[in-house]
Amino acid sequence: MGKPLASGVGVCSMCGKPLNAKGDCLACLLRTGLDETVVEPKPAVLAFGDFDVEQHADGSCWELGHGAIGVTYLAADKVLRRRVALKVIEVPPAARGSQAIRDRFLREARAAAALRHPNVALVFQFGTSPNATHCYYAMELIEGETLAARVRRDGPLNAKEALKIAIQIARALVAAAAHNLIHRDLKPSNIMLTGDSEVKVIDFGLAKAITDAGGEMDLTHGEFVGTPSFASPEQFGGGSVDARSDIYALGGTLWFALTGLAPHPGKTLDEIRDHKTRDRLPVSQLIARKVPEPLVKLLRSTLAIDPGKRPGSARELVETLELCRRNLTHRTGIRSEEAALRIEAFSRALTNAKACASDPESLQALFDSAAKKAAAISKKPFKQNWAYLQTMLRLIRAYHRGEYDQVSNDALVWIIAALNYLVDPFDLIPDSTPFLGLVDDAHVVELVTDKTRRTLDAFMTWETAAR
Amino acid sequence: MLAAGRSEAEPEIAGAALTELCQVYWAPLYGFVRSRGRTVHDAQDLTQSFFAYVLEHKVYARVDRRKGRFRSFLLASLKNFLADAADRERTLKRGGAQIFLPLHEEQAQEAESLFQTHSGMSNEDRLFDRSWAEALVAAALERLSTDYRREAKGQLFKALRIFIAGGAEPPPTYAELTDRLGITESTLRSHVTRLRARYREALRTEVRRTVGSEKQVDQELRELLHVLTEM
Repeated sequence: MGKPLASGVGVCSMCGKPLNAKGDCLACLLRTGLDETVVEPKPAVLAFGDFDVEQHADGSCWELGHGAIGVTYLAADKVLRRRVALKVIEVPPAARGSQAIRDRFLREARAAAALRHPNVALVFQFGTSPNATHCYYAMELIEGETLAARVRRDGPLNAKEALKIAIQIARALVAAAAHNLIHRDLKPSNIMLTGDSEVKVIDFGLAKAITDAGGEMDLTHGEFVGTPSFASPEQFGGGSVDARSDIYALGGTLWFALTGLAPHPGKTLDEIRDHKTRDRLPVSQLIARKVPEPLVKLLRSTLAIDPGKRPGSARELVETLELCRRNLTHRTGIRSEEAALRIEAFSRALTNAKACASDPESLQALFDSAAKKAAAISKKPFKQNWAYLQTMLRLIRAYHRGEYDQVSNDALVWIIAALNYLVDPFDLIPDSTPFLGLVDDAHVVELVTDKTRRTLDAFMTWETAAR
Repeated sequence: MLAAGRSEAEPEIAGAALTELCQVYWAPLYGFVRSRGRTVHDAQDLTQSFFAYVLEHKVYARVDRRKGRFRSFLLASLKNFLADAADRERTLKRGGAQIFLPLHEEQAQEAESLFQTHSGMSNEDRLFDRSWAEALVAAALERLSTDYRREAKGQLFKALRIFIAGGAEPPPTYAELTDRLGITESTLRSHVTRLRARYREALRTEVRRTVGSEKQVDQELRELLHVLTEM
């Protein structure tokens, strides 16, 4: 009740000013016209266990995220006086009376809370509301954004950045494996990124707990647990899943980071399942984004329909991802710093080769130089191209001696260009550049091989016959 | 003074607008006359005579539209009018007034009730300002209420009115209201926000009719709020 004044008129419960004869507060009514905040009583604080949900100035609850599985609020830990992310899941009425369901949720949540890793958001506390209407768990509050939000805002990431993130997720999976914990709902919106792309996987191991509590996932169908676009094919079957499901989901997440798309989108659970189990991976999406081949290969492996064809463990996946990153760094490094020099080198080699082909003296000089360089290098760095390069050298030698002439000018030019390229870059590329990085250049080797394969095959046949 | 300010170009519209304004602000002027010791009957007559005088002689045309506010203009005019009350009364008795504002019984009673509520105030100008503020928000609330009823949302307006008008009792919690109205909390929040925005616009529209610029709308509201908070 408002406090009565002498005149018998009450005062406003919100601002304390006298009310008019109609019981209205003129001050509040005028303030609203000025857009000055009218004192509005806050709705009852939403509280779960030790946590009070924080409110905006207008009294609304401070939501950090809102999904089909529940709402995540910014909340205050009353006991430890810290801010947390509080995920609250409404338990369907039919499940509220079940002690077994509540116990299962608590068991799963307890297991999740035991996981401690730099790339996993900590679960501080969990519980159910006294009337069993809600389950909740308080997580470490991560200042940042989700991978999904980052990609939505900035577009697909480059391979280096995507790998950096994927490696951290995979490390989190390694830690989880040590606890026999499976995420089951790994996806871009469950990957929090801090300012420097440091990863914190959220909701680890809680997808199952949430489902046990009766909450719904993004799409619910029978026993399905997860988010269909990123879930593994075996998750659709409702059978048992293991860590390889998370590996599959990581592949989908990495795919999304690289392309901005889920590998197998769809509007319904059935549609997505059909895509996943029947369709080939739309690798063209990766090619269009110029994703390096080793990464494409890795994605093919992680997103294999058969779990047996995926990396066998999270640790193996980390190693593969690390290798991929090292190769990428190497290749990217060369590309970014010396791409122009490489192109220039091969272009000049081709020009010189054309000149050499009709000039015996130049051809001799080139041959001598190439032979000298080739002799000076070891076989090891050339790997599979060693035999190929040696064959080219023998052909040039035979051609120069006049013993072999079954070679077209065009093929000869390409062979000489390859040799020239082998020799010339020493003058163009800094010493720090691994020599093999040049010869092993897939593009050049493929180009030269393509142009000279028949010629070299014919030459080897001739060599065999001559012996 | 926006509506009346167009009087030369659109005399009929301006006249109608002014008549409406006079109706809305009849009570503050009546209260002021009453505060000068006039009886109910005399105050009604004088207030009616004053508005008739304003409309007949187009007194509003003298207002400096850039500086003037209808409120202060009317009060100053009323004071002058009352100073010559004897002459005016004689004129009226000779049948000098040609324009009459309709005066409803209910309107007269409300004005008297308003006067009685604040009759203890020593400053008659403050009494006038307070009554003016009452009239202003009442007009805005009435306009808004009519709009909600027209949209078949009369009950909603009634339930949420407390969020803009306050009251002796604290507003119900959102949880209580969602149960009572059968809507979700987010929908309720949206309704409250919308109501507040609509009321704000209705109030400012009302003020806009009595001042010369948008800036003066804020000044007018602040001044009235200041008057209230000083009481």
